[in-house]
Amino acid sequence: MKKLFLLLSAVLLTASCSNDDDFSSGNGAGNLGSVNFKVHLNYDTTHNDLVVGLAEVVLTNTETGDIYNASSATNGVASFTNILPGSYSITATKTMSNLEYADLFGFTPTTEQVIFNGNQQQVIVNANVTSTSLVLRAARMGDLVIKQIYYAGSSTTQGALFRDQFIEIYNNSNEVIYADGLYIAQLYGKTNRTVQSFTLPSGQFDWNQSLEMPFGTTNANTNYVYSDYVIQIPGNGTQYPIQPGESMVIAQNAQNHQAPLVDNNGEPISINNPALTIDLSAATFEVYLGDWGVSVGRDVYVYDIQNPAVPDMNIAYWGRPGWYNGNKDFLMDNPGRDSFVIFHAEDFASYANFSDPSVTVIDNNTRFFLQIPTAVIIDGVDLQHFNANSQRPKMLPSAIDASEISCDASFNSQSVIRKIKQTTASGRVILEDTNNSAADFVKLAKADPYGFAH
Amino acid sequence: MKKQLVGLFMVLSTSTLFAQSLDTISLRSNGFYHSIEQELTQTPLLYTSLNLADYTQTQLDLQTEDLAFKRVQTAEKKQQYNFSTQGIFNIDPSLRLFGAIRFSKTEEENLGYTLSSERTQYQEVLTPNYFIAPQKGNWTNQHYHLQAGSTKTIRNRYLLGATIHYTNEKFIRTVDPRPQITSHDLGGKLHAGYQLNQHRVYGYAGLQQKTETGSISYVNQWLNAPVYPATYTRFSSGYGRLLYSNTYSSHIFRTLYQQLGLGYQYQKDNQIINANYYYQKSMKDLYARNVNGNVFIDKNLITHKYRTLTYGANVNYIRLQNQWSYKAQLRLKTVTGDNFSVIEQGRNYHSTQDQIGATFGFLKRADQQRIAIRAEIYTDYHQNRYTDLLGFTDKKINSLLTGCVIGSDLYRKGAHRLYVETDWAFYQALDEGLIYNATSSASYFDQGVLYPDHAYDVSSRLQGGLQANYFVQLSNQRELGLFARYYGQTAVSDDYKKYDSTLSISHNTTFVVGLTIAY
Repeated sequence: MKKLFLLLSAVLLTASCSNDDDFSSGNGAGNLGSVNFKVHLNYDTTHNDLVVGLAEVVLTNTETGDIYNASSATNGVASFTNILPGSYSITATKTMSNLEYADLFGFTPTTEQVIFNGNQQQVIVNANVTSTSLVLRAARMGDLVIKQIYYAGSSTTQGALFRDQFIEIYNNSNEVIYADGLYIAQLYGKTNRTVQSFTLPSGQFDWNQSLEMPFGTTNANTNYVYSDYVIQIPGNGTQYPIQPGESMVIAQNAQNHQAPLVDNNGEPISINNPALTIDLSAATFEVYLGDWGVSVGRDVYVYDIQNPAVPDMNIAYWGRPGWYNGNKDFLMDNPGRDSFVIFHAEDFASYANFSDPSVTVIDNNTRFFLQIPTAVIIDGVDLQHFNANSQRPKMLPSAIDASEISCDASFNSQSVIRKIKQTTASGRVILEDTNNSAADFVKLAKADPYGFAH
Repeated sequence: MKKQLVGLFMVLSTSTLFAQSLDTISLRSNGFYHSIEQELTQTPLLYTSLNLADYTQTQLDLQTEDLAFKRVQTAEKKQQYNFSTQGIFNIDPSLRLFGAIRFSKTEEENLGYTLSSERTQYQEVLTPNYFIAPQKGNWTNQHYHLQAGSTKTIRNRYLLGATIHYTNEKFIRTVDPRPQITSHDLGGKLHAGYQLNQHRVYGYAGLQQKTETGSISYVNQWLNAPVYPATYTRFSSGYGRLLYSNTYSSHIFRTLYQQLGLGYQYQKDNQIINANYYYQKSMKDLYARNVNGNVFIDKNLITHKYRTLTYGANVNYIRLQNQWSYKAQLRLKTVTGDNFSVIEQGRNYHSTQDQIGATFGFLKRADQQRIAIRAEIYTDYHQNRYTDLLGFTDKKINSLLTGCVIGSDLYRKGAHRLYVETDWAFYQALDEGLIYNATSSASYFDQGVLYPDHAYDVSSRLQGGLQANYFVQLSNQRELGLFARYYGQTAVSDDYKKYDSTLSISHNTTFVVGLTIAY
């Protein structure tokens, strides 16, 4: 009996001691609490790696949505006190006048203002990780900007579903710009932030690992973006001017979606609540795959309804020939997992295409994505999933878009549209353009082609 | 004086005459024996020398509850259909089998702020790590429970026992967001003991695993957006802090339990005194989806770990006789809980629940069949504290629960018997405190759960009940019973106003009707 008692005591003692190891992870398992965190800011190498003082830094906790703001000191360090541990995305912006720029870097820029942006995602903050470094790059300002993106669509039962999507390009300058030959690319990337062997720390694809990427490539992520669908404005160079303060609407289907339609099978399409959708019959261009699709052996999509009165966009890239990508029209992701860029390119035909890095063997189902140099991008916007539980990593570098923007939900008739910065004496509207979509865009309760933010 | 002494002698003689040990104890005959029935499955080796009568009892009952005065994460109305069968079978004096099967179906109405299988009806705080949305909805739940056990005495010295249980549950909510939860719980214990004359010692070790697979879906997908906070699914990790989590669509909770216990008993005839100690550790891990959207048991997919440690002890006295039977218990228990967040690499939640209590009861039989009176009083002091280090929440509640039960066979004639019992309980918060410092702007937990629940916890409340059980002795030792029970609960103080002046304090009612057949 004595032996039995001793044995049971030993078992109980062993059980108690092992409790200390239950949460062991090599980094300790102490009580969590608020922490202090520093962000070290530097300009990029073209700006001499100098520290960035008086930049606005925003920390967003991706687990709770809480936002913390701080300014960097003259030593380039932004200090945050008492923030909760967790996963964060960081955005930094520095705005300086051309005089300040000249003072700091020794030459005068052509614009009155220069904006620097930096962004980092999936930054873990805890008691063991108390700082990070961020590089800010000069934001590229274009005269043409993406003004409005209507990707959410309208009610699946009362509205036009996804058929009424459009994108709007705006002339933000004071000179006429010809849109002939302008490319609009729908970018491709991962739809979740999970880090895998073929991704970057942000969870985005590491395109350096793409199967056909030349050996030793290290700039596939920093110098390029990747697109599954590219459309182009037609024209001979002077056919399609955009006047200052005016825009072009590129519709998926240039139809009056508030009125009944007939699909390509001859079946009627009725709209139960016209107020939820829009009239795109006055769109500048539309995307019609019909003829192109037939040329590559595809049937005309039932909802790819052509308006003969509206010019069609050119289909510039729809996948590698023989491995064409699957969209049957200019379909934007309704929850918001797309990004868009506009660019000109004389050597577009020479652009390479690659499979995404998760592909290890190329087969009949492999998809290929056009590699577009960031150097040619005039403007770009990173959209984001409306559901904070389903966020995706950014596709665009911070010099093009430092953050992201989203609607509230899918199929709710909302669009994202640039804010008005100012209206000139002549009535020309200048839109906000800091290459930071969270700051530049707002949501419209209902998409408004050719309209402006209220 | 002489007459008085003679009278006292006669009373004592009479008492002695009736103070014979109960030859056979029928556990189903009255609620007085319910504690022995419960302990039989936990520490069966304590009762190998008690002559427990063989029986099988089958019961069907319907329970309806109207719970206006409650904590937030409890349904407003409940309807439960129950079927159970249980029994004891002594194969021979050294080998006993016992077991039970239970099935119940529960319909819950208007339950909000939780998308999990737990409720706060009988606990102050839900265990951390669960999905949450404010929107109230109705649930349909099913529960299957099977338990069995056996004890064997070898050469009147060595005691061996084994108990096993299996529980299968399903929870479904019928409005967006729509969780579907399936739970499997399997556990067993091995018991060993040694008996020498009136003394015995025993010990047991047990393992248990509970796996809960959950998924949350929407019929109207657009409701799954932050712009609709009532239906947008979030994750509660702790007690006050809400997070975004993409694993709401599929996830697994797996809880592993380790149990140990030991005790000593002295028994002479049907008089028992024992002291018991028990320990339990549970580790509940949350497994999230992997990169491909699949979820399975893999330590790399664990996002949160919740551990509880339970230490308990009790001392029991039981005396079972033909006329008078007594029981008493002193009990102590302490439970600590700690929650660990893998991504944040630390402990974000801690709780302690301490309890000390006592029970005293007696049963007097007018004859072998009729119960003259059964009475029981009990009291429990609870000292509980819950802290969310990132929420930030610090909740303290010290309370006293005191109750009594009185019952009697009011009518007995031939094969018919009517047993009536009333029970009362009074709850009072003796000390309390609630500190909440919002560390996140996007949390509704304080107004939605914290303050209303604390308002309920600080309110004194009185619960009273009445039950009537009508038994008819059928042929062949079978007994048919019909019963009806009514319970009511009401707040008897306005302390709730300090935390939530809008808390509903309407009267709660519970009504149960059923029938049993025993043989």
